[in-house]
Amino acid sequence: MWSYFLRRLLLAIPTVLGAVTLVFCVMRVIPGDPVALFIPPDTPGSATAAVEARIRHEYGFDRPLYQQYAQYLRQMATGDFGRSIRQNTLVSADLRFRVPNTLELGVPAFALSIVFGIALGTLSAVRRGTWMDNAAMFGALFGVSVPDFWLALMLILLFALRFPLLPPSGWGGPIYTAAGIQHLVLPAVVLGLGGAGALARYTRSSMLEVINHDYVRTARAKGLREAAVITRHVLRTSLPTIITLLGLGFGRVLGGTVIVETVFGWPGVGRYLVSGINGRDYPVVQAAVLLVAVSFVVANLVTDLILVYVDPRIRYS
Amino acid sequence: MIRSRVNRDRSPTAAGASLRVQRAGHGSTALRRRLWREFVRNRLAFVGALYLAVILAVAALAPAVAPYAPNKQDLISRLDPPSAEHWLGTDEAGRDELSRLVYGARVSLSIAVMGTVGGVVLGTALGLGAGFFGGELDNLTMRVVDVMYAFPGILLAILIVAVIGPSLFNLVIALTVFSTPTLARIVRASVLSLKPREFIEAARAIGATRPRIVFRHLVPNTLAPIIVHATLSVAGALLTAAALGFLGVGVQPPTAEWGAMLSAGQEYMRNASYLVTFPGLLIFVTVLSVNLVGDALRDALDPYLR
Repeated sequence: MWSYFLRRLLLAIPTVLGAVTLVFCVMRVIPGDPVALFIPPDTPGSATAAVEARIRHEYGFDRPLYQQYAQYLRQMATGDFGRSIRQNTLVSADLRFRVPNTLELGVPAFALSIVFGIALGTLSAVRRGTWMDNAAMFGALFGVSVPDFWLALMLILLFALRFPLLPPSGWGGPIYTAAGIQHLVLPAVVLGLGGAGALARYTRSSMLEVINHDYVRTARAKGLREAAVITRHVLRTSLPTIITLLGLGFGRVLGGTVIVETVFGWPGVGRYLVSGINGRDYPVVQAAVLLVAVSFVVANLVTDLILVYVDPRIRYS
Repeated sequence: MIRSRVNRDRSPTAAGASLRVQRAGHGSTALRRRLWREFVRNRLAFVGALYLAVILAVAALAPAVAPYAPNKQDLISRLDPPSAEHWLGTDEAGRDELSRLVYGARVSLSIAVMGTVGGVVLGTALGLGAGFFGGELDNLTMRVVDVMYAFPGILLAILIVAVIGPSLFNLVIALTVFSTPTLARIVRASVLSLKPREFIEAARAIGATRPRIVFRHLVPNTLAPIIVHATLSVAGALLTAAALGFLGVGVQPPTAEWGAMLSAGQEYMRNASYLVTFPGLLIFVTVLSVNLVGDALRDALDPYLR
């Protein structure tokens, strides 16, 4: 088990390194002269030769690529993401402010997608072929097909403009305040829905794989209550698959924050990234993309480590 | 998926076996029959396919179908609500919303399809190479795919378009990168499961060359999962392209594209909600139809994928 643990941990290192390198390549190598990327296009007066030279020197673009790469790695490893070109604030400080906000939105959304996804998937697997199965699976298909930005706008139209029940956008305060909760409802629902749909579809099929096995029939034959058969025998056996999917679901939530935070004006990392892209603020883009990618790799690592505990087949292999 | 009750009654083993053993050129009538049966039985998928046929025809015949030119401005009738003259109203520049949606179908559908085709070609090549040759090549390819997987959702697509610029061609590149890793993994898994089978061994034993084994024996047998996932990945590509357009890094104005139209309409949402309702509805219904067709294809072609 420990060897698996260690192997999995070691495998994550090249992935993180690869992601960091990919971002370096995309941002420094592909554009030819990266200085152009660092000068906002709507400020023509500022792009004098002196400014260019200063940026070139400040970011080390005047040095050989391998030295730039080494310096970049050193900076990323120490959490030194540079300064925002637009705001002239430290990107690391911005992130420290924004990460908790994203968590405040992402964690409830993720919880929502887990609860609804597994519940719907279980329901339709157990009641396979009935109208409940059809309704649940159509709901799930709705969840994976609806564009989140559109759903967000439709909900704003309905619940904030037509019937002013909830605030249309913004962050209302910490999650334990009434205003905080009210502001959280719409974005969390939108963010959680797609994940719930995908999870429901996968939960259903992974449960259907085991529901017809002999041991399930045996469990029923010995007079076990149906609820116990489903939770203890069926759901438990399909749990490893579901847990693997939770890792992917987490990624879905992470990726979704980019859109949802933008639509709802939520001051998190996703909106920070979009503002960085629109303002051609590349230190911001670089840091936000890396943060999301590394969190996703870590999340997948954590799911794999949880799997070791849940699935004895891995533990003893 | 919704309709899986009937599938269950069919023996999946027999269906899968007949599909898997089949060689290129053989059994295509049986396959066609099975597809036909699935679509006749699965009414939702049938409706989805019908809708897709209509929207493709509309996109192809856009100049004939659209009542106005997509970029024709009429500053007197700005933000007009839906009327007999403008069925879906006009936007902030007085352009006919319906005509823009019709022309937008061309852009939205073609970048999604081309991006997926790119992903299928690249992903199949990577998956075939990794699965067939194994060893170091496999290891390297899969590490690269892992790295691409580290960027959840539209993140990598956003990054690419933000750096290389938002032209149509660049969007296709971004969508190709978006759909490649999934297809590479699926093709690799499929090749790995086929490689130890007797018919591959037999081909090798009678002295078939490597290209012959790959293209005559492996590729035809991986087609089912490729077709299924390519279809489902068109849905993902449609959503991604629209999301990029919505964020302003996708198709640029004044070109009509569903996501960008939705984004432009957002500003006028309070008084002209139809400007956000219709483009989004169109994206939603199109993605839904693609998913319905993809699910039906999966049920018909490869019962194992469920």
